[in-house]
Amino acid sequence: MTSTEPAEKIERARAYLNQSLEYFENASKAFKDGNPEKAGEFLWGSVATALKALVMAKKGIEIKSHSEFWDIARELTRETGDMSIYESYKEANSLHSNFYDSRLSLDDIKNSSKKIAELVKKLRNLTKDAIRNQA
Amino acid sequence: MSQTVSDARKAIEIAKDYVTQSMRVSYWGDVLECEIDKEMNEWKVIFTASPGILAPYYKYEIFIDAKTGSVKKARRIEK
Repeated sequence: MTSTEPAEKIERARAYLNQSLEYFENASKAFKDGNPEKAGEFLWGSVATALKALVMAKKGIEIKSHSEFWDIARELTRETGDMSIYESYKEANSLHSNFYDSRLSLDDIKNSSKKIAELVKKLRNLTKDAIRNQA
Repeated sequence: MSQTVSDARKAIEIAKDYVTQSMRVSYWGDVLECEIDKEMNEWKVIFTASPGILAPYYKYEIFIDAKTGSVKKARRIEK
């Protein structure tokens, strides 16, 4: 992880939030196009960039590796006491893996997408609060 | 391992290692003060750090023995 100057934090966090939303919308399009693997990968992207947004907004830190996402998900779960954060994160990660080995059915991915949508919403709200408190 | 602390950079390094490993503080913030008390032969480092992603930054102080590099006292000084 690397540190960022305070002035850049909000701008970069907002950019990640926008990217997260864009990935989420792309996931919906991919579902409609009958491409579940692609939809799953966009859902993963939406979670990953929402986590990046939150960590940037709160700590000015850039997540650089895949293992750091796991650490952050565990830490957020511990801090909030909300186990669904880690469970939904794991589902998002399994969608990411599925992009390469196509094990999951369309229904599996659609079921996961509901939980992941909740997770993204929570992360977005935490990030927006952090931005609001610093603006 | 015993190590003489001859400069502020080394003292800060020790403080950083200690706070992340022994005080479960994950995010280092800023160094606010770092000075040696020559009479006591100890470094005092005051800094901000945060224990979690959602947690705020708090102020901490650490006293380090300049002769051995061991941490004599460490605490959060601001709630």
